[in-house]
Amino acid sequence: MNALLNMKDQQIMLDGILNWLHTNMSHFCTPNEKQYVGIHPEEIEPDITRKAFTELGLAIRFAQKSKKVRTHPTFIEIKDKWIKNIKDSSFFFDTKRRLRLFPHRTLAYATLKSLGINNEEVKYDLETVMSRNYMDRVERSAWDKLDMKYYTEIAQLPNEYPSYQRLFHESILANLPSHSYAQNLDFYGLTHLVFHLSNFSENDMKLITKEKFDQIQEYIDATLSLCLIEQDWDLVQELLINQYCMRKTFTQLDIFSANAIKDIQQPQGFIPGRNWVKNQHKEDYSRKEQHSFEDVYHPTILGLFLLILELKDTNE
Amino acid sequence: MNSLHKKSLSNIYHWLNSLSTDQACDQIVPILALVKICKLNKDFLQEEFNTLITKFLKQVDVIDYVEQDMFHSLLAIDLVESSGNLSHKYNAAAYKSILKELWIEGLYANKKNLLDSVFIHHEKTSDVLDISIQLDRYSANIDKKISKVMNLVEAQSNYGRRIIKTDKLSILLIEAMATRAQRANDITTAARCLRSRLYVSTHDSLLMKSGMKFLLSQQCFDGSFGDYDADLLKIKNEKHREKSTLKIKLIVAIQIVWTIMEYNGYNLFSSFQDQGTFSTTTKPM
Repeated sequence: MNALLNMKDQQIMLDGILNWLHTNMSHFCTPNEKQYVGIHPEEIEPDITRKAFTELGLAIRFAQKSKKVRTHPTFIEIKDKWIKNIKDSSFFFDTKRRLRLFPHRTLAYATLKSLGINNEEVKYDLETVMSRNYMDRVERSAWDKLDMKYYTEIAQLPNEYPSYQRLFHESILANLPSHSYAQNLDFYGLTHLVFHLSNFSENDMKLITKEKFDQIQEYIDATLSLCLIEQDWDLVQELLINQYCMRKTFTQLDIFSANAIKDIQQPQGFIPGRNWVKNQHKEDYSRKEQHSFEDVYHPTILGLFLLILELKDTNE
Repeated sequence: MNSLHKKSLSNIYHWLNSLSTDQACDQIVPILALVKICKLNKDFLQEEFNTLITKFLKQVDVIDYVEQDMFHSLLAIDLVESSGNLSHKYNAAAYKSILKELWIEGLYANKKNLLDSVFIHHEKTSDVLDISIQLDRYSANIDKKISKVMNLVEAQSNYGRRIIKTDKLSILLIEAMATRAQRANDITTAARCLRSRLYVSTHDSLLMKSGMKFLLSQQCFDGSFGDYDADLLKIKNEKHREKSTLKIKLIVAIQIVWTIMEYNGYNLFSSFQDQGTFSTTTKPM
């Protein structure tokens, strides 16, 4: 079996992550959408809560692939609270005008669908927005377009985005930037392109990337080792998920990375982000216990994604 | 040696050749150190570099090694031992023997690897040493951790004179350390990490390739290395700024060219002349 962690560690890590998510559920809940008065709906920005809520929703949707995760009692509580927030915050209010919130609403809709909840009015609104010859035509990077294409496809919305093949050829995957100069943003581009092209390992990357496959694999390995040295646990996890996406037979590098994540998981259950690491490196001891939701929620959700992949149901 | 590396060396030669007498005298030690490294490839530009040495040494009577970086001094001395006049050779030998005595006394602990490498006679062995690199995953001081690993590799491999082996993950992590330094524009550390990587493995890889490309792309139009113009503008006095510019450019050039040479299979520390070919009892007239 190609696994990164042993069973005991998987369980401990899962319990910790789910506990933290549940304890901090209020931070994920979104503000009431009906409270935004006096601002143009088109100008309303997503801010962090909608982003965090949506990403949690993606994890909930993805968890359907792992019985072990989706039947975990704490997971069920999180899922129920997530669904409740949709109603409590009037999450889909004014969808046809709040265009900057479109990706988030598309994803939330896709999450509900995966849980068997079909909201026909929301579907209508989302499809209407897509039909305006705008969303799938704006000038964006291949990465952005691929993200949006993926979201609209899992929500099953009609769209006219370019093909996955075409977007691959226009992306950095087909023309990888030197590590000497690449920024974290470029690495996030890399990871997301791989997530979505592979549909989290459902698609065979070899068929999509063809002769570039080995290059991309080497690039992912190199980036992972760099992020290990930099102690960037968020990117380390994104890249570990990429290894699953590439259907890689795990090497020492991957096992070492996964264990580093398992070991850095904090008693409260979260996986620390870059700011937490920066604070640890400072001399000021009073700051060592501090951590912000913004900094740690994302790596913690990634940890959940990773475990869902580790504990994925095999075809029985 | 490929054409890009040769072109690079050729440009360094032109840069050194363009230096004024004043500049050359002022920075004679690092200049000689750089030339020694450039000469490692005996099949390329030897005559040209030899002419440079003769030119520089003619312009200076007494070379002060004490005030200079010890590594640069040791390189310069090695060159002087074969190319200097009697007075040069006497001074070089004197410095070296005093340094050796101090080393025996246990001084310069922070230069232990370097001095051990120069003064201890290492038996040539074809045994391959297996080393394991313990990596502190959560070190609060990443740069310190990296320095520790480099010290280990340099000591165990005796600066590349001894073949050492380690696991694939460690090799990749050393490459990553080099890459971290590049992203921070820390050229000295980047060069050092790439050399250590060469000491544990000479196979090509993505990060090795991008690392070497990074070093080569530091070369300026005039043949020198390093882009510090903006930082150096902080020095208001023009003459002082000129001096500092040359100083740092030589430091960086030495690091980069050394790495290029090791990459091409020319081991620096193997090129040091054997000890005691010149005795300090033979004083000049």
